Amino acid sequence: MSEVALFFGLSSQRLRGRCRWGGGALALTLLLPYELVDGVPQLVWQLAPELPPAGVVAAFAPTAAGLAIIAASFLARRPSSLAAVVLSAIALAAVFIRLGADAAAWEVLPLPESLTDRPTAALLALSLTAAGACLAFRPAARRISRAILGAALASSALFYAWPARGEAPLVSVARALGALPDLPSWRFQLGMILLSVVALWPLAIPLAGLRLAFRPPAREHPVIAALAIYGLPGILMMFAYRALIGAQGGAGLLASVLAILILTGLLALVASAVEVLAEVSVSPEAALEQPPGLALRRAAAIGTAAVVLLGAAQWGLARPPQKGVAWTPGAASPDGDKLFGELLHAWSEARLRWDRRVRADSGAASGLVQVKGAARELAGAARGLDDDLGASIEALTREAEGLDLAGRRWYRLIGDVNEASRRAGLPYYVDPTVRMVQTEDGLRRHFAAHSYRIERVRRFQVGDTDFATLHVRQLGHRRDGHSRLGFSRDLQPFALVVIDELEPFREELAGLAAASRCRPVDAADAADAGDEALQRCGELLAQGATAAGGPAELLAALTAGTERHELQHQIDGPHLPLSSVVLERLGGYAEESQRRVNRELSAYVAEMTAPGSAPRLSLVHLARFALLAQRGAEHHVGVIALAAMSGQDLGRGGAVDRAAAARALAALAKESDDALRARAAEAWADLFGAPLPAATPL
Amino acid sequence: MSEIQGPEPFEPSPSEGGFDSVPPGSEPPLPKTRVLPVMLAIAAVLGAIVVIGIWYSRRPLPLRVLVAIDLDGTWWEGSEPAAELADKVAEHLTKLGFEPVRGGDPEVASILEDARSYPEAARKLRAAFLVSARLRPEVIEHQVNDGGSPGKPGSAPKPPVDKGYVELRVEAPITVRYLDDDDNGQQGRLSAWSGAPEKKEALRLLARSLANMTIDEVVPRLLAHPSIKSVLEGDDIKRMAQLQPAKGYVEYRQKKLKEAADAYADLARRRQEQERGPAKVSYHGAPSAEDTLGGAGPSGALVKTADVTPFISPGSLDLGWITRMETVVWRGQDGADRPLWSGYHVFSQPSAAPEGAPVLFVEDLFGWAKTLTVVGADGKARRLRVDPEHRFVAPRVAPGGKAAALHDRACRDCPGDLLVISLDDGRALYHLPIAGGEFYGFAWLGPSRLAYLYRPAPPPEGGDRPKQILSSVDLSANPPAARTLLTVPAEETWSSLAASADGRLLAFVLFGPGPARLATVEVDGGKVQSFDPGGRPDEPALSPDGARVAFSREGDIALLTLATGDVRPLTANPFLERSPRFSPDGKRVWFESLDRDPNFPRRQLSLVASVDAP
Repeated sequence: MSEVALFFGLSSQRLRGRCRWGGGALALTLLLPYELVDGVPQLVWQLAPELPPAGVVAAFAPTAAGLAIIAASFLARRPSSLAAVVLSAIALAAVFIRLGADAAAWEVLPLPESLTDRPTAALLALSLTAAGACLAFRPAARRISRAILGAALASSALFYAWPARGEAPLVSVARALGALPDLPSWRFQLGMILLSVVALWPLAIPLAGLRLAFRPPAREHPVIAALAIYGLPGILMMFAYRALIGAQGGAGLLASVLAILILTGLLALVASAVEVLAEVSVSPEAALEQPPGLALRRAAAIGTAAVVLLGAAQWGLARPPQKGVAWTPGAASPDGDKLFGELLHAWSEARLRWDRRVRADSGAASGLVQVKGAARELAGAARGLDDDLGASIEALTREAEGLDLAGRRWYRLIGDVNEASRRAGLPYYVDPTVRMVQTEDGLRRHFAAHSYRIERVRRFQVGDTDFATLHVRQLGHRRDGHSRLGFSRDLQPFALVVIDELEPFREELAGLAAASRCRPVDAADAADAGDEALQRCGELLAQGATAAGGPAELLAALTAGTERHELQHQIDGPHLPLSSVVLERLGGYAEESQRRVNRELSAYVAEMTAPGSAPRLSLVHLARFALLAQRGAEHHVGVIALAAMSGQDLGRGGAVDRAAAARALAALAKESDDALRARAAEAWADLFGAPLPAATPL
Repeated sequence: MSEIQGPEPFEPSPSEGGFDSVPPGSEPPLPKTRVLPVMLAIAAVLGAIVVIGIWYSRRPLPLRVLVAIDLDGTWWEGSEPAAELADKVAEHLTKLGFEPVRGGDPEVASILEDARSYPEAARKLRAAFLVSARLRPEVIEHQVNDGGSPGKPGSAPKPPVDKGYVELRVEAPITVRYLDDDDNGQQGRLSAWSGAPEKKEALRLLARSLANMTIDEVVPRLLAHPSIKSVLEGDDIKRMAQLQPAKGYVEYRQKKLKEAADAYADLARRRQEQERGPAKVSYHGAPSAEDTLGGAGPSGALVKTADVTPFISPGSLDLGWITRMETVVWRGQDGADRPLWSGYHVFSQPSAAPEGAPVLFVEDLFGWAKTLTVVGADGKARRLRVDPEHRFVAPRVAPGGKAAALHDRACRDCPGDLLVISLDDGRALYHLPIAGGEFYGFAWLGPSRLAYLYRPAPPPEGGDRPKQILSSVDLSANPPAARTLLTVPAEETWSSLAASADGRLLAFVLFGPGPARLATVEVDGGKVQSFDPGGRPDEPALSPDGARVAFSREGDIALLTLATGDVRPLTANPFLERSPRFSPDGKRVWFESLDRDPNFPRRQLSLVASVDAP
């Protein structure tokens, strides 16, 4: 046996072994909780019905990849073929996850961060380092090992320099280390150092591995390769161990251990596969003494083709929802009002009551009978209006008799009702709501349907895409906290502006404007008199109301602003890039909070640019958020937007600098409405790094 | 190569070399392993595990109960009352520790819909017990018919003026069956009624009243079953603890019901012990009865019953009662009943013609309307009037049974007019508005002649109170002619008229100077004779021959002989006795004997009794 064959045999044997345990670890992703709700793991198969098809594919992709790798370890005779399978499977899983996450973000339930937020470049850097380090030992592969170690460093650099979430990770780490002296005690400082070690591990290891490019290691499997693969999991395992010692076990700890195992498997698999492929690519076929089988090129071509074809299929599945709608609503009728305003609510409430009871005790037969009775009445009335509407409502009520109805299905079924209503030219829209709650007996979904009468449909063009808004009035009596000036769902093709919520809002604003105040007078806010920022806010409100004109004009201005706000949500979708200002202010917050502030910031700033809107009133809205609330997403939105509009620094975290806020409001009050609109457009561009998309009414 | 610290060079593995490829003679071949028996053993073990697993997952759960009660359909067919009943029963069973099959679960509904029989469904649902009943309520639709305006004699009854009222009655067996038993289970009986303007509401009320009854019938039978006894006496601590509420309920129920029965038995014994009268009093009814005496006739006493059944609420564990339907019966001296009618409620006392038929009474239709219901000699009941507003009080049927007199109040708090109606069609034959005056009683003097006592309203300008007038009206005249028989002296007040069988003599209570007295007046001559019976007399009843007067006196019954003025007590006991009536032969006096219910303080017991009247 030649030396090349001997080394290749060692690499091959390692790859095959790692395929079995690493593939197994990947397959265990199925057991990785989707999320923990009150310490109870929600597993992927429990939530799969809530995901779009692309999301389901993504959720099961790692498991499928792991199983494929295990199967290949038994079936593939040639190590090069096995390596091709490993890399193809992992790459395909990564593509599936990325596309599936994009698709799921539009819908009811996003893919979990544990699945989507893997730092690919960092992991690749570690795996490449391990592969390069092993190859450096072999004289025939030293050249390619240098290339792989260089690629590892490049991958690492890419990871640390690329501002994937608004800020380069290296900057984040530097900022964290810069804050070290300000931390309250040595324990916090030590903790921060440990976290920094974890964060910098993917940089330290490639850097250390680079040394082997010039000085070959003394061992076939050098220490640096082991550190690249097992180092990070080892450090993470120390945290898990500490949690165990600290009696912080439970599902969270098990999930952490499982995630570490999967990470280890992933690193080991990629490292071994790269190692084998590199050896094959630099060694003569005969010297490797591989069993007969597919040549590397053909195996790689097949793997690449599989990734491309299946990736393309997933891309097809992952298309975002269509936007815009051609809805020509006819006149409302008493039968339609009864159907959507009474019967639908009666059925929805009966179903909710039954759903809650049937899970709690054994006596819910009455509830089911009432649901069925209400469903019959509802479907009968719907058939009287339109056959298709009747069919869609029958489907809705029939499927809703199942206790395991998925939230996504609920949206689809209600969507079908809306589509039937649209096709029939009926002026009625039904808004679906799903509330998921964790109970002692597991995850529960509570469904509700709120109906609206459409008064007007407005269509817009933004770039090449059509969008739409519906101006609606509520039907029925129960809102369940569903009362908002307007709302938009990424899943749906249009946004809503709720006129009968805007009217009381107009009255409230008019009342406050008359008193030049930003909030109602009561005993608790006697201090407002000495608050210059609130005084400026009140003055701005009075100006805005006066500028708007009479009650009808004021309502029109509020409607225009609200419409643009909701339209902006439709335009932004779930993939709005994170503003660096948001990231800076909310660096320590959860991603969901950051995203929410980011999206609301975009919408609130955009609403000021709408023709016919009252930008002063929007500013008042934001000023009230900033000055009256102490925390919450709206507070941050108000502070960031005012700062962006005025160029004033209102304080970075903590309390708002009220003097600066007063100055900002005073300066903005001097601007004309058109100037404020222009300033808002500029602010949006500054915040998001691109011009604000123009919405042209159709 | 010496630096390499890798594994040793590859050895050919058995799979690569293979034992079979060892040349013969180099090593003795290993004995062949007998794989088949091992595989068969493993397969047998696995098969047994699977079978046990399937059995375990399908075996009935000992405390699981399927409630399949058909009340206007079943809940899985969409019957709301059946669903409400199933829910209430399930709720109680759950509280008592049983595990009723979950109603309202679509999977359960699907199994029940697909099953060919309840037992099959119960097995699929892993229920050990099946509670089933098929309840088909009798639907009685009441229509409003006010019989014409009381003020216009001869006017025809009006058509219905309201949409009516629905009464439901149900009586059916309920079966508790243990599915592994060969027999068809144990049967109890459900009996309930309800009423409402709409059938749907009536069904809902019926379901509610049936729920407690169902528990009352079912739980003791469940607890008595050997399988449940074995749970209570077994070693499964968890199940035993789970079933303690049921055990406690049944034991408590038995204890309380026995106490209630003992209390009634004690009362009956007390009645016998505390009787001090000269004659033996016979009680014609259960000690727990709440009977009302309406009169006496050839068949015995005309009685309205209002029975209850003591009951322990499974929720509150309070002693309560289930109200049974009221009945109007002829009750013989031996206590045997001849039923004439049953329904929700009868106001005041029924009345019968002296011949025994027809019988007239005022029905209360669930508070919604009042009726005048007549039961003829053929035993068939007819509603002469159904009126949601008017109140009919104290009807008296005339001899011959062609007419009846009563007080008619146009509303709940209105004063009552005197109304005479035809028992053929409910027509008003005579109507005397009260017109601000007062009525003091009336009595039939013959088939078409009515005597009544009336005091006109005081004159608007003031002055002395008008005197009472004893009048009679002849209904055979057209129009009926009323005439004054006599004017009562100003210092006297007469009341509680009773007539002799021949209509020549009237007995009454005379209030005047001095203590109240019994008195008689000759209808044609106007001769008045008064008697001092001692104590405060009331409710005089003339014997058929007109020679004696039975009356109540401070809670006892006494007898006055008119010829001699002798007064003899018929009863002497601590119970409140009232409403004496002579039997048609005059040999016996029937009356009511009242006492407090020992179990339910809100309820008054009332037994129909009789005593010889020598």
